[in-house]
Amino acid sequence: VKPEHRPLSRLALPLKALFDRFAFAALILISLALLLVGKADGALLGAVGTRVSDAIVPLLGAAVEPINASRRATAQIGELFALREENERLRAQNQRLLEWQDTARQLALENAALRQLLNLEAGVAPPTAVAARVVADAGGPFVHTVLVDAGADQGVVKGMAAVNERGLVGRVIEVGRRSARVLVMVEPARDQAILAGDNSREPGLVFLPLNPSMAVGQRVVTSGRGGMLPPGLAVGRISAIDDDKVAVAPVVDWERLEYVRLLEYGRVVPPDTLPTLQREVYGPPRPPAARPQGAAAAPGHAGATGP
Amino acid sequence: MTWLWLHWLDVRLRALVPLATALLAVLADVLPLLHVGPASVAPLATLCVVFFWSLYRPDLFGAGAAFATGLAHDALAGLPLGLTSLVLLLVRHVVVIQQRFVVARSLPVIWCCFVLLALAALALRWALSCLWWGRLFAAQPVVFELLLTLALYPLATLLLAPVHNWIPRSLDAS
Repeated sequence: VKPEHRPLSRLALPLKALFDRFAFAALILISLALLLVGKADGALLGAVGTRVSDAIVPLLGAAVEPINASRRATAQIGELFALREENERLRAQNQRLLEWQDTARQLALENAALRQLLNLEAGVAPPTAVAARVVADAGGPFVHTVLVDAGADQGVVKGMAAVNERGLVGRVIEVGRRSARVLVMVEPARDQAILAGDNSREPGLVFLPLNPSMAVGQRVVTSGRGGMLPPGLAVGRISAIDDDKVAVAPVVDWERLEYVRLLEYGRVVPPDTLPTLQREVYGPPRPPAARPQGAAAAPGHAGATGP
Repeated sequence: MTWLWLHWLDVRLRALVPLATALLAVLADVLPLLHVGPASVAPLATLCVVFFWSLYRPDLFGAGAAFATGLAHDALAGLPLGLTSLVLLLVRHVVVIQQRFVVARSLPVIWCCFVLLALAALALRWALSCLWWGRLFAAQPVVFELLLTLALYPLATLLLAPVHNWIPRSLDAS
C-alpha cells in the first residue's frame, strides 16, 4: 500500500471501512426482512414489484423488439433450407384442416339447431381478450413467470388466462398499470385432474381419479371447472405415465414466446366499458345461425362474425 | 475552474459504471436473450458482473450496489424481493475478504474461484427459494443454470476488462 500523504484520506479510509462493514450487516438484515415481509404479506411487496415493472416496461419493450427480430431472422434462415419439406407438410396439414373445417361447420350448425330446439341461450359467452407482448422472461430454475406489456389500463385483471396461438401459456398473477406478470402453466386442466406445475418443463397431473383411463399421447385441455379458465384450451399431451407422476408436455413452444392473449372469462363487465377497453372477442368465428336473436355485437366487438 | 469541475464530474460518472453494468446484466437476465434449451434456463449474468466488480473494484461496487442490483433482479424476474440481493451481498462480501489472494492471479485461477463461489451462491439461492415457497424444487435446472453461468464468466470478463481499464485507478478527482 502506497503511503498516503494527505491526512484527510488517512482519516477517511478506516471510517469508510467501518461504514462498509455496517452497511453490509444492515443490508443483509434488510434483505432478510424483505423476504419475511414478502412471505407474510405478498400484496405489500407485490405492489412495489409491479411499480418497478410498470416503470421499466417501455424500456424492456424497446429492447425486446430487436431480440425477437433477430430470433425470427435466424429461424427464417433455418427454414430456407427446409422449404420443400415444410411445403409438403403444410399441404398435407392444410388438407386435413379443410376436412376438419367442414366437420366444425357441420357441428356448429347442429349445435345451434339443438340449442334452439332446447330453447337454450348461446351458452357461455366467448371470453374477451387483451393482446400483450412478452417483454421479460427471466426463465430461471424456480417459479417461471413472464412480464407482459399490458396492465390494468388495458383491462387486464388478475386471474386471466394467457394463451397464444398454440394453447394455454399460463395465468395472470400480478397486475400493474401497464404491465402484468403471467405465471407460466400451473393451472387446472381437464379430466378431473389438476395440472400442478413444478420447475420442470413437464408439469404433472395430480388428484387423478382412482382408475384413470389415460395413455401417453392423449391431449390435455382445460375443463372450465372452477370458472377460472375457458373450457377447451389446449394445454398439452400426456408424455409419460409412471407411478408417481403423469407428465404433460405443453403445446406451447417456450423458445418462441413473443405474444400472448390474456383471456377474461366469467367476470361480468358492464357493456359500456367494453369499447373503451378496446377488447376483442376471442374464439372461433361462429356461423350466422348460431347467433341468437337480439344479441347483436356491441360496437366495440370485432371479429365475432364469421362466414 | 470549469475544466476542474468537468474533470470531477467525469471521474464521478465513471465511478458509477460498475453499477450501471450490473444493472445492464440484470436486463440481460430478464430479456429472452441468453435462454438455452427447452427448459428456458438462462445463465445468471448478474452473478458474473457482481463477482468481477467485487474482485477488481470493490471501492466502486459497494454493498449498496450489490443490494440494489439484487433487488432490481428480484423485482424484474418476479422473484421474492430480497432473495437475489441477499445472495449477491454475500458473494460480494466473500470476494472482498479473499480479494488480495486472488486479484493478481491468472484468469483460469480466478475462474476456479468463481466456480466455487457460483456453486455456493446458486445452492444458497435454491435453498432459500425452497424455504420461501415451501416446496422442494428440482435441482437439475439449477445445475444447468450453474453450468451456463460458469461458461458465461470468461465472456463477461472479456467484455468488462476494457471497461475496467477505462475507469480511473483512483477516485481522487482533485
